[in-house]
Amino acid sequence: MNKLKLTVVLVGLLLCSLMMRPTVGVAGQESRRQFELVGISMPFADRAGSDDGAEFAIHFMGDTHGSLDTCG
Amino acid sequence: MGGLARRVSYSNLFSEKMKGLPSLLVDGGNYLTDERGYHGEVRPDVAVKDEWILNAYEKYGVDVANLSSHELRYAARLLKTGSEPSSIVRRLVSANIVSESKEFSAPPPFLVRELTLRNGGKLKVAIIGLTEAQPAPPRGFRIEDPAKVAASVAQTAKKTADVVVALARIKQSDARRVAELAPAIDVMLVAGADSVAESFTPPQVAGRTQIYFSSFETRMLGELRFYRQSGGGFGTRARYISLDDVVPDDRAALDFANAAKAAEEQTRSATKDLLEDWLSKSRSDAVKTQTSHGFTGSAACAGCHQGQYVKWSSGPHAHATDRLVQKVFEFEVGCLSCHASNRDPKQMLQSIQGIDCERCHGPGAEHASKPATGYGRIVDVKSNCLSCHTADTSPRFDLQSAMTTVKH
Repeated sequence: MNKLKLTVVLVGLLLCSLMMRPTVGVAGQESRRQFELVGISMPFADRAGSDDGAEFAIHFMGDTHGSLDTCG
Repeated sequence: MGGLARRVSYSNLFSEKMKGLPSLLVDGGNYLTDERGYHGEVRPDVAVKDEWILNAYEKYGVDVANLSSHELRYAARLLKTGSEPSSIVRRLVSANIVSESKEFSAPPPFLVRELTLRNGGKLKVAIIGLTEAQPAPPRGFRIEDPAKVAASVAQTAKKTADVVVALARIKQSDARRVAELAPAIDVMLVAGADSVAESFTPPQVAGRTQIYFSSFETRMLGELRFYRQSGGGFGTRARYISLDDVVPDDRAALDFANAAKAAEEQTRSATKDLLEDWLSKSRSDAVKTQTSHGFTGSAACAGCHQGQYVKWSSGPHAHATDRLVQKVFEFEVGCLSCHASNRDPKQMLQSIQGIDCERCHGPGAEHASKPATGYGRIVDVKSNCLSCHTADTSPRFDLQSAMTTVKH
């Protein structure tokens, strides 16, 4: 059972490291990382992260299917 | 998850923490309700709901919204030529929705937003809109292949802006094909999640284009940060912010969303009341026996034309009102022009249930008082029938076979 848990954790870490790898960015430059998921137990005040020198940002959404409501 | 109130709350937090950082808020599409009425029209309650959504986009600063095939049926009313485009219409974009009629003007293929950077410099972001072809567009529009259109539009956009972003409401599996055919697109933001199972799809890279997928129903708000690279161009960092119950509701936005819901409910209620009011009136003797404008009522016809009366009374025309009762929330006074018989077009709510004898044969009071041949012949049967059985309302209507059913 412990071996199984260890395997799951290791596979998880491997996947995370793969996700964090640098990738080709706009105009052929390197991105800092591919993506990160923010939230799930993180306090609200921390979710915007730090001011890290970005020049600008785009917030994007879609497929809200005609609803302004919170679902669940 | 998701919702306007939490999204606004996060946007406020972002602005507070990232003082002075310019940002854009964009929507990839499928943000209106695409529920159709029986004849494919936008239902009254849906129209109200969609109007509130677009008002929310204006009030809460959506900079650019992709007009997708899912929005087009409602949005067509906003795209009529001759009127000054509203503030929300000026935020809509679509490269592959084309107007085929002088009646409508399609949105521009892309919009350029100029940002003022923290160092006072300026930066231009071109935002292209792309959509899949389904659901089929309403009359007056056609939708071209998004990949083919993207290739040329992106090149044009590239000449006017520092960064080219495409908003695409397409199937997730088609995103790579579009990106490969349009390498001038720097970033594609794809809204193509069809179920909660697609709440998160990892980004992809196609050539030099980065592809990011929005979360189903915005359970997570996408955030793409751009960093200037020393060798020119930009690097990016993508963040997906969960809009779960830890995120507080913005009070004003929550009130707005609740008001939108109340307006929608009110419209449904008013629609139902209007139908019930008319049904009640139409059963009254005052309406059933009205003889104004030279009409006399079908019962008068039955005295001489028993066979025809029996055939009519058991046929679809006599029961044309029945379907209205099943479509309570779709009801509008306009329905009565083909599901009821009116004596005075200005008094539609005085209409009689069903399509009665005189609706097709004309006012019969004079004929009933002095029966003679010549009355009631329908001069132009085709025009008469097709005035109600249009391509929109009766797409499978066939005049010849219909006549065998109703001929009397």
